[in-house]
Amino acid sequence: MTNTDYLQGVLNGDPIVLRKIYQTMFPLVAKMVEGQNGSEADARDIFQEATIVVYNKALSPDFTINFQFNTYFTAVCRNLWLNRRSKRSASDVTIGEDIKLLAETDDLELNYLTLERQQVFDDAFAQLGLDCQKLMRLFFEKTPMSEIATEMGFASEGYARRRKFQCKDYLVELVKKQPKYLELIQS
Amino acid sequence: MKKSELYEQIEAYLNDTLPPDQRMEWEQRMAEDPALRQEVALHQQLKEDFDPGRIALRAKLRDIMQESLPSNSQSKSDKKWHWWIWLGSLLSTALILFAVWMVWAKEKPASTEPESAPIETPKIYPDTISETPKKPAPIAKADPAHFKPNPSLEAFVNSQVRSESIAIKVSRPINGMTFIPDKKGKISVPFTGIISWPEDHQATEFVLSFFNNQTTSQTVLQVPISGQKEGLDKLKFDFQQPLKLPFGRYYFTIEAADMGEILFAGMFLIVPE
Repeated sequence: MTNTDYLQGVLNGDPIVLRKIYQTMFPLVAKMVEGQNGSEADARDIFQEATIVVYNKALSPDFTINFQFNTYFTAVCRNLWLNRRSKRSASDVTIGEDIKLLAETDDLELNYLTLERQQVFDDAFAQLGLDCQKLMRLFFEKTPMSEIATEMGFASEGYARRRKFQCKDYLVELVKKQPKYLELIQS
Repeated sequence: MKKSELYEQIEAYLNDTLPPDQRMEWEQRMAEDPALRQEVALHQQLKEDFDPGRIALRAKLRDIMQESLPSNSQSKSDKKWHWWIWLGSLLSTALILFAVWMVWAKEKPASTEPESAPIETPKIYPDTISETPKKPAPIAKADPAHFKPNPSLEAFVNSQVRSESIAIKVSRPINGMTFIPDKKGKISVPFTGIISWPEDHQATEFVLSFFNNQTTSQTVLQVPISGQKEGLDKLKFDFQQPLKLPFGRYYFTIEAADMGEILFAGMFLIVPE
């Protein structure tokens, strides 16, 4: 499997590629995280966020990885884990030589703030009811209200508008419960 | 300004659909009001952060990680204990069922279930009926597997919030109610309650769906809820639903037909006489 296959697979959410990455990479990530006072839950978070990093990078059509995919993925995980640890304890961070080297290249530059903000958004979105998720998807994709009403099986455009407000307000309240979302917008 | 109007204004501003004079006025307001600026920035960010591909990717990753959890965390000794725990739960379930049966057997003479009640099961949505209720054998025995709680359906039963716009109160059946089939294997489940919805929500059809404990993707039976409308925004219902199903644990949901939104969920048991 080439680097392009991996990038395309993650971008398209291809279950075969995702399973392969999980089976190859997760044991390594778990070993690294759990070997440095992290838990299995930390390892799962780091694995998930690293996959999201790959997805975000793959959205740019001209993005390429200058290493073997596995080396790249491990480096992303290490950087994410170091960042998380540095937040927990500012004093207890040691960066290995390989990470220093890898961190100097562009493809490994990580935007932690964007990642954190996306995580807050996705968690809030996942808490919406299924009909609200569908309605918000149509709304964010700029579908006209009349079409939203038809698609959702609502009796009127007025009702679609009202439901859209209720769903959006619920989403707004959910992200506002995470004060860091507002901080992350401003920074 | 009402919150819904504020949202409409913010969206019109962000989509650049405000007429020039209103846009200028809006920008003036933003310049003077930091809270408004923050609200606009939040709505802008929500719009930018929405990515269906990323949301779907997270769900797939969660599933993949979930699939591999039990095999990773189960050691040999765990498996041995697992076997004992399974046997224990089986025995406790059998004991509980026996106790329930004893209590009901004693109370039976007071039962007012009419044996000659009309038991025709209405099949209004025949397409959705995927499983024909089986007639219990003359000496039917309760299979413990049919009484095992279904986690997904239990979650609905235990969750309190159903809908943001439609209110529902169900006074019967009481959650966890037990029914004993008559000689013909039939039971009659009472449904009493009231549903109220916003006046501008014109579609007022509600659906009652029954599930067994095996799957959430197939209903055993679906019927529309018939009742008495009170004004434009309320429906009072009070009816008996005849059912002919094997012994087991059953769930029901009440949904608004046009929205596919679950408003209420409950559980009942059908146990041997």
